[in-house]
Amino acid sequence: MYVENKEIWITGMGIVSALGTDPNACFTQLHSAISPLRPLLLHESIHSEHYIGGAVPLSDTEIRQATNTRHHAYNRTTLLALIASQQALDSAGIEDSTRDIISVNATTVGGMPLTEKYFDAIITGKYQVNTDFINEMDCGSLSRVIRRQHNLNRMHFMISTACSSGSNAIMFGARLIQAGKSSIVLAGGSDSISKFVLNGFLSLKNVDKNMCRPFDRDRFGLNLGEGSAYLVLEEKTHAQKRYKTPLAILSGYGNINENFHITGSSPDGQGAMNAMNLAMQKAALCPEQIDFIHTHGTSTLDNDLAESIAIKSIFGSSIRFGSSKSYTGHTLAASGCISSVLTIGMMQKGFIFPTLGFLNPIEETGMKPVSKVQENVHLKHCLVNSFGFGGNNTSLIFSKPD
Amino acid sequence: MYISKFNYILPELRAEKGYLNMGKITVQEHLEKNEIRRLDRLIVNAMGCALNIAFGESNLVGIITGTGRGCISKLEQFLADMNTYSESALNPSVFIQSTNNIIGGLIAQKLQLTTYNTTFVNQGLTVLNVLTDVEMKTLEDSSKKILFGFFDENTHFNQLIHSQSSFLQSQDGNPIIYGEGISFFIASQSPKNAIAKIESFEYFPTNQYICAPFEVGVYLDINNIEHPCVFYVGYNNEYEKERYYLNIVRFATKMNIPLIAYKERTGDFDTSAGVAIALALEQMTQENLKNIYIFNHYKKQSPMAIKLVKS
Repeated sequence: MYVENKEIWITGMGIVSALGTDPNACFTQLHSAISPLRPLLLHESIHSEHYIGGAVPLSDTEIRQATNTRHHAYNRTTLLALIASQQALDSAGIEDSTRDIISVNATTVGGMPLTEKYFDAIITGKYQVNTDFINEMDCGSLSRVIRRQHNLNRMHFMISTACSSGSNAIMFGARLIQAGKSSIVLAGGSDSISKFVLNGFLSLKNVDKNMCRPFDRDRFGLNLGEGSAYLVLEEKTHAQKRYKTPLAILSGYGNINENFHITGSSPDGQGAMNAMNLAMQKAALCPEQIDFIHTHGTSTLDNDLAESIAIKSIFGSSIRFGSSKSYTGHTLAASGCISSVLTIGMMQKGFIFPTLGFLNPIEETGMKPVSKVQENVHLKHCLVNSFGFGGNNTSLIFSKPD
Repeated sequence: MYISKFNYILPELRAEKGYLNMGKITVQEHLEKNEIRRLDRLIVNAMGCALNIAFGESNLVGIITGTGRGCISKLEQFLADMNTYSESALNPSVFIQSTNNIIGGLIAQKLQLTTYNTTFVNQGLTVLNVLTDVEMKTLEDSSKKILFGFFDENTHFNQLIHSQSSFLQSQDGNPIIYGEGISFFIASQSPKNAIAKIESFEYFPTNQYICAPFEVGVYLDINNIEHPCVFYVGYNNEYEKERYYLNIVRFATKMNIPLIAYKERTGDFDTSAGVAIALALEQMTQENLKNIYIFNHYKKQSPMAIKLVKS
């Protein structure tokens, strides 16, 4: 009989986002409660200067130098993933040799920065596009590069379930360990801002020109962001044999499908409730034991209302919750992983960040996110939400080691 | 894991396109007229293909899909519209339909399924990614069933990028035909009403440029092959230069095992091995075969073997 009883430790983590280019820089910026969002000047679109977002403060050239990557064709999504995954492996103390590690990656559009750059040239035949660029245009190329660059000698996976992709990668990594497929998994997500994605969300009319206002009555929409975050998931006994201590424990996870609308959240919050309940069931925790909820909190009208209703109905009005989207922007496939790393950082350092942009609660629920920095807090169990197109909802629970 | 139902859609060589193509809409059951009108050809065909075997099926607890490139015709349309309309007045439906997990989401809506749903998008490894998840999911809840499947389409842009990257011109001058196709299955850990069991699936991790001939040789030597047996091989027309298949051909010749070059029917694409599973299952229902092995790689980066055993 199949029994899932392995304890999953987080033994390494890496992050690159608008907040900073490593975990400590991100935690410090988050703690400072200052939003790094700025006009999207890095990206070639007629809209870019009119919208703010969470751009990573590194050029592709700088990332190549930082990761010692010589390949000229790796797309920005892959380059961001290389930074975060390398940090995660380093912090887990994994030797730089051939590694018996499965990687689980996540992205929504992968090589889109290259596809949109060369699309016209390819269609019109204006000029021959270098084969190296063509080979990096899809989603799977990221997964292949991560395996090759880090000398991983096992199967690699790529999940693409829109904005819940990253959390699903973490969940899938944990399930691989539970199933005995591996004792150690590198799991994370990455996405970069592209003209395609910016125009896509603009067509949905849910992008705010100003800083987003998660859970605020007058919220208008999201800010886009880019970034990557990776975790090293490790079976407890395997980590102990390496004399590693956990940064956190992944104690619960759950994925469900909303079955309501292909892009909209169920207005009664049922989808979000189901995902959170599933994760708590897995962790054998009751709502009273959850100390903080790192919400999906995109600041769109539908998401924040549904998530707010769901949180209130399960946890009541006094639960502490917040959204980091006003710091990072919405980083799509990376968002669940970025939220996870930021949550682990808060648990370690004992603070809760304020949700910037929040002024007045949503009238239907009256729910108020944490709006001032809270210091010296003990966070034992934290829940991280990620919701995506297709009605794909995933919740994770991280616990602080005793 | 056992497979109790399957369905697939193969492409045909269409003169007006000049490449293998599934045509417009081949399955219309369970779909509304407005859905057929507004949704992309790949989405409608994939939904129809899946719903044909999943509608009314009890105990389904998850949908797991895989694709190499997703609904690229909508992605291309959105990119073209961005240029044509100078990044204004863009249709959100086109953007939404380009999302990789839309097919899994829409099937869930049709089936009123609020359980596990995920999508893998990993070039030639997509099929093994999905099979790994299906195996784990059915073991996690052995009394339940999983709907899983694969879909990929070919487009004018796709033809262009594969032509320009030299993928479609083999070294010996034989053309490689790009293809497309859809396949869906119902899996569980129960042998009841099963057509066959997917007994094992193997990935031969390899350097990008050397396609695991040694590993395949070892795999063949240690597998207890029961006759009658057939090998499905993913030749894409450059097999004479392909060491991966050469070992398999030698072994099959020695053991008197028939070879079926399934890409003659599907063309080559990321998830062609998914269609190969469906074709193999169909052959198992028609002939007295004990084993079917599927060997494939896509662009030399995903050498794999899948073993089917008749129930």
